[in-house]
Amino acid sequence: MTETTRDRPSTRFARYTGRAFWLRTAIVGIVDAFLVLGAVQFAQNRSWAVLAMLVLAGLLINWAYLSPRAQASRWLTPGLVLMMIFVVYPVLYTTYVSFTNFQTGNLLSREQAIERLENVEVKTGESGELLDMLVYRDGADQLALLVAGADTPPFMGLVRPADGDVAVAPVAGFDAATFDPANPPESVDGFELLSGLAVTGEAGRLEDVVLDLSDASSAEVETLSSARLIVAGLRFTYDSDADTIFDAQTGRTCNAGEGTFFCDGVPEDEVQRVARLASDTTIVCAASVCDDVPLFALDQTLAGWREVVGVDNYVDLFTNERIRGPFGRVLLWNVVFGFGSVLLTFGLGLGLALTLKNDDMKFRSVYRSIYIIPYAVPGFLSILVWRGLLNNEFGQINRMFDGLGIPTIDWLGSGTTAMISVFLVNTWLGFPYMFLIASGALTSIPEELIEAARVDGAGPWKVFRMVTLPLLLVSTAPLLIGSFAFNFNNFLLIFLLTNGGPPLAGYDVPVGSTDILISFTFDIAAGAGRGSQFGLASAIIVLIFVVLATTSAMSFGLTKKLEEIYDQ
Amino acid sequence: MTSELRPARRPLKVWFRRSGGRHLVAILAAIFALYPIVWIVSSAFNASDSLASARIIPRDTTLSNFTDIFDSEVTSVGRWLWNSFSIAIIAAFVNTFIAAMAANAFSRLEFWGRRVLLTSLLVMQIFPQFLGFIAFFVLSQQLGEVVGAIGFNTHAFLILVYIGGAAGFNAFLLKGFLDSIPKSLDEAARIDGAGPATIFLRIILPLARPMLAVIFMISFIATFSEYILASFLLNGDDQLTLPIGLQVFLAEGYNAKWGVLSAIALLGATPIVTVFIAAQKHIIGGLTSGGTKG
Repeated sequence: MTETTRDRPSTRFARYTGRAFWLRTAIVGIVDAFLVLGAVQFAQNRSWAVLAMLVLAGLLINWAYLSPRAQASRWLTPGLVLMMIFVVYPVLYTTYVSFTNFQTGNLLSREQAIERLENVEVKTGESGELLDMLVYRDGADQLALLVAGADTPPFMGLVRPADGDVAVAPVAGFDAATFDPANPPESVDGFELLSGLAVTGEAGRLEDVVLDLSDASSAEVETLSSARLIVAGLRFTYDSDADTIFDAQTGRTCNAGEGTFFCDGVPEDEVQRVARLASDTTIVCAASVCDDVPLFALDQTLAGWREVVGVDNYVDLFTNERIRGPFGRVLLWNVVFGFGSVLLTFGLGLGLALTLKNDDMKFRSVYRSIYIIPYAVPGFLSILVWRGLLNNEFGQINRMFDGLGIPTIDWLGSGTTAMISVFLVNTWLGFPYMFLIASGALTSIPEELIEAARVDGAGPWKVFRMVTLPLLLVSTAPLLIGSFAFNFNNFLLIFLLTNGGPPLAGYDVPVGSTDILISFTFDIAAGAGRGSQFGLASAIIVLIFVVLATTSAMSFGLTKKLEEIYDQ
Repeated sequence: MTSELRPARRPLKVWFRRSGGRHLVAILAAIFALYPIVWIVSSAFNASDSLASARIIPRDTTLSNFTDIFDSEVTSVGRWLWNSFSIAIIAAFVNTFIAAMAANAFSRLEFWGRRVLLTSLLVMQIFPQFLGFIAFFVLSQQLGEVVGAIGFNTHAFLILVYIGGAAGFNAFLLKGFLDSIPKSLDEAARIDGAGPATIFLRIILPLARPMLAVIFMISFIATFSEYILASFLLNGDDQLTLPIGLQVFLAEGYNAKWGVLSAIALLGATPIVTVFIAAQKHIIGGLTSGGTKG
């Protein structure tokens, strides 16, 4: 072998001087240039994992296409690089995420989260200066206010509603330099100064209005003759030495905790509880403290950061009653569904294979072709069609029942019937495959064995049970276990037919009667109305990995054992 | 079973006992297999196109369900079909080629780590790729920040994911087939002055054509129906693939869209069913024999 793969001197020489070598070097060079460019960018974005893969891929590519000793790698590199990024990395990354609090509200890195917090603006009101206020009105019945205070230069402008957008609208004709508080102008740009009585008449219109003095400050009407100065400022200041953040609005200092900041005077366990229930709050305070202070209405994606939290997600899965409950339920049904599907499809497939076994049976090839059809129709299409056929009101199955005088069944509407429907449709989808492999396996069973058993006086059932079935299982066991693994994760069927439903209420996570682990995980990760909990979802995926690895190991062991038994 | 020993022609009663029961079972199973298919065909041509008015034999027939599919005013189904089709074709093509390259190395070259690599290809097959959807979601965003063209919500990223996901197992399947191509052919070509690339392109690939076709088809079908990854990595009406688009489309009223759905199902299924029935032997061989030689 080595004789044929090792290149002879003439070709090796050609590699170093020939056109092919230079072409290859040039291409690798260009690829390298792009990789270096990308590497710098990923480093700046702190995407370390991506950077690591890029470096690995780069090294592999350079070695494979430049080193004369790398023969096989030239053929393997494209596949290896892609598999590294799109098969190995996802498994590792998912495992990593399962140990973090990565979820809605904790999407950012720590630096990004603090940066966002530091940019949050707040308008501090209570402490602002009290300004004198005069009210003007023009012919078009528009109101304008003139405010002035000891530390605030006089300003005259149009008002806006308190909840409207900031819009500084000064009255152009007003001259602040010549303004005398003791002798205010009677008229500016058509606006007439209103007397005390007239102002009282406008009291309704003065409620909840704001006068913008600049982009950063405004005056809020407080009485009919005074307004309060409001200055916009930054709400949070980060102290990097103490690793705390100060909240100017509530005057609290908040300490860095797990994935977010926790404010003073709040018991840790209470904080945790509130943090879980209200994941859209950045800096969490206990419910009792928060009663009089409204929780910060921050966009939840602005909030906390992701952080390694150890086995918290796993602990949650097994101990948090509101997650453990649905998780256990889903796991149980998932196993039942996996086994049941294999049993039903294999049973029907084998039965049909036995039925069509006789060579002299008429229309055999017609039947065969018909049985293949369900397998060939793209799954997502046939599942969607079945959903229509099983529809409660309009579905053909219920209409047929109705026509025959049988009471109709709400197939997808209740837990039990939805489970039956799932089995029904999956049997339809899966029996052709089992039919095909059972037919193939049946033909490989030596006819003499069956003859011998028959001569020994065994009836057809006994022959099947003692000879045919065991031999059949030897050759199909790995495929059956493969089918179990496939059905264990048969997302498409569950998602498109029932969407996991009908839904079950009263849990911390979205869950339905026919949810299997993967559809359950999908909902947790996609955040069906409750935010994406990537950490928790990843923990479940890791458990699915464990189930699959165990199944495969069993498959391997079982195949060996069966072969040992029957190969004698 | 003992019936095989008896002579062929017999009265009806005996015929029934002999094979009538078998036909009864076979026919019942055929009805089960064809039940949804019959509804798809009849509803696709039914002029009153809601689920409630579906009949096995429609009162009036029409082609409007089919023209609706490609009428961009009514649905984006035509667009989604094209997205799915182009993604699946490109992914299946590149995937098959990369798998063939790797299989060539495994089958023709002796190198350090060969056994370990082959085994790990099989071990990695245990974990279905779609379980990594969270990782892909994050990866696509990190990539997108630097190279927008292969980031989140691009077909390019999805295609790369699909290629990477299936390359390993396909390489394994193909390796088994390539092993059955005599190595003396390579030898002969090498003596005639052909390099490794020429041998691969001119000798190995043409001889492996049947298996390449099977792998191409299996990849194409798997990619065409893929749901989880596409739904996490694509966003916005124009970018969707058919499975996700259909789900969105049907969410707005399943009942009324029954006719169009049936037409799509008929259109989507016909080519694949035809190829399947025509190429039964090859595909079944590929599915059941795994890595063993054909």
